[in-house]
Amino acid sequence: METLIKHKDAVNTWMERFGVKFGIYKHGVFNEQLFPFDSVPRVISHDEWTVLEKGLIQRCNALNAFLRDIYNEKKIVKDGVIPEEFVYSSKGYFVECEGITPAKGIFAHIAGIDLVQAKDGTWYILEDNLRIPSGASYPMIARNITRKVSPETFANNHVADNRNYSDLLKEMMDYVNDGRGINVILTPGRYNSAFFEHSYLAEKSGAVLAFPGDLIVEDDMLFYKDISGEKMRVGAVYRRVSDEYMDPLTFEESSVLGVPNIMQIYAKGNVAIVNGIGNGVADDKGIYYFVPKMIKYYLNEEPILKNAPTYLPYFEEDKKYVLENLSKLVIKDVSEAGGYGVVFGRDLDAEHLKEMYDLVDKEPRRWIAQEVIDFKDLEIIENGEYVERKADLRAFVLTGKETKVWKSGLTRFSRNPNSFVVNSSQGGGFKDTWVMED
Amino acid sequence: MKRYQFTYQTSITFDSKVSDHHFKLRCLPYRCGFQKIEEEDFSVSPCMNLMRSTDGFGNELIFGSTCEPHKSFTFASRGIVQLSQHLVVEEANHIFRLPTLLTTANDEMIKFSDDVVSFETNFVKDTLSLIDALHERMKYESRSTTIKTSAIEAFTQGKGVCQDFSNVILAILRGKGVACRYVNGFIPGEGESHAWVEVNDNGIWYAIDPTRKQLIESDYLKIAQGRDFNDCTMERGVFVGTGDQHKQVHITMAEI
Repeated sequence: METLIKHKDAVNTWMERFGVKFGIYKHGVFNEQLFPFDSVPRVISHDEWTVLEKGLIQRCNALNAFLRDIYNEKKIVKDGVIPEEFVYSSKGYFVECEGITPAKGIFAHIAGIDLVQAKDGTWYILEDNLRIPSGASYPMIARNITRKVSPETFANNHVADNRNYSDLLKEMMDYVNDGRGINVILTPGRYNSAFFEHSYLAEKSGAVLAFPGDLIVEDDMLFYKDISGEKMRVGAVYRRVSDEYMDPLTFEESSVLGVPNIMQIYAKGNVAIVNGIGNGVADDKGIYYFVPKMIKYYLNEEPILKNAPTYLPYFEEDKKYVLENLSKLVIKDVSEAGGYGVVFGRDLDAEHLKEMYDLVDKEPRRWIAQEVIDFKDLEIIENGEYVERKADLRAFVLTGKETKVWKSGLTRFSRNPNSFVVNSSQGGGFKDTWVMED
Repeated sequence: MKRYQFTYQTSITFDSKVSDHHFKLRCLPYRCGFQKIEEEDFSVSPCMNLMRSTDGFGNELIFGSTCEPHKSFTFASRGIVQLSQHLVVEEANHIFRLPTLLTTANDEMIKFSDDVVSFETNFVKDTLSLIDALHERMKYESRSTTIKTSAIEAFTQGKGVCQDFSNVILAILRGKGVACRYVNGFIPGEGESHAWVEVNDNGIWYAIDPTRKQLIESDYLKIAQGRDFNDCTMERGVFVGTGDQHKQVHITMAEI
């Protein structure tokens, strides 16, 4: 590992050359910046990984069962396990998906599950991302480069290869595609924050990178039109366009990013959409609270991984606790993503605390509150010195014929020593994640 | 049971040519026990690519596209149907209890309702009483609102068309926790489409016309249902082109 650290600058230079970038919108201006890489990897032991892997598979299987149920029979609501208004008033619930069971019954094909490890070693699930979780390409390319600059590191350590992410992706897409046609990755375009990832994953998985306007619905099928006007049938679309923009005739009419009428043929089962439409109802920060209950309900199993201790002000008892303990809790706006809408009570002065109090009091359904977890910090190198920073782990779980966890993940860290927010859209950096084979 | 013939046609003319026109239409009778379809045809012109489907509410959809540049677009349907009393035995999906942007009630509307009825036992009877009272507050006036006018706006200005009367009733019913839905369809005569509501009382859907203050028997042809107008739009389209469009709708329905 020492040699790897020596080569930190070489790695970052290579990444720059490969164009490993992340776009950030700040004050309405689009800026592309390098996603800073720290060469000290996060190392997860074989035994620790075995537990994580089992827990993540269990969680994603339950989340998929929930999505199938919610858009069809709604048994979990009828049985009173989850209050119905919690499901239907979620911004991620789309009535347009009622009655739809996607190809092979899979809604969440690619789940990005965010975890943190506490000082005592316990892993906690922070958030499920079942819409368009990004970030898998960064550790892939980082590994690729570090193996080149320091091959001996990988000869001496039995680290699970993570460059196979694109194989997992292809295998899953082929399964839901079911031989209907080609696989495509639909990108909103050059100015999307994760455009680098879209093009990289397309190249590595052999999917065609499609831009808005390249896809058309005809004869109840989806086609890709190439530059010569030749049409090819599409069997699976890994779309990096959000639900609201996917079909201007079903959702946001002004959208030019989507495919008109794709919802009709999706409902008929003539094309697989990865991830499914309407998944937001399952990764809603409010629904998060109920995931352990889902695991028991659908799988009849005890949850292997823990949620962070969470309170729903929607319930009177929780609301009382939250309002009384506001200054020591983390408050999250359920409708926001990417580290936006996260407020630490202890950072608020009296005036802002009062404001927050009123907001929670007035709109309890909009917020969740969590205990602050005492993170186990990870070491990073800054100006040649080792320093400790907060970090999380986004694990990628792919569901096709089987549910598989990618033996790596995106470890993000906060570059600000006082910040707990590690999201790349908030300017954080990343590390490679090593899962040990033995 | 009565037999009716209906015809429907919408013509859109564009000031300048448009292309890559994609559309989604709801202009065929809804499939359910009280509507038996004897004959049905439809046409879309110009069209290169026509498909059929149903949406999540069970509404019949015609969808497709035409790439060729064109200045006019016409779609039409016709048929013969047998109609009987509008009753459906079906448990209500919870989404029909939730207000939408168009069907949210304010405190004034709830108070207005509470002064008239309780919504404790007989939802149908109470809805009809509420409608009678509403007509004292709101008068029917053509072109006094648009498709974007909300229940609150219509109630506040005290006038509206069939869609607004339906929205106000839906908003109040949902405010009282009663499951109800918006219906778009045709009524005997000549002109445009009509809107009414369905109210779920103990697992049975009853059709009620808030504009004509009546429980619906068998002379209404149901085309589409949903939470509000937006789920039932007869035509939705996107195209490449500039310039204004002008739309003409013509519907006929007669007993035969």
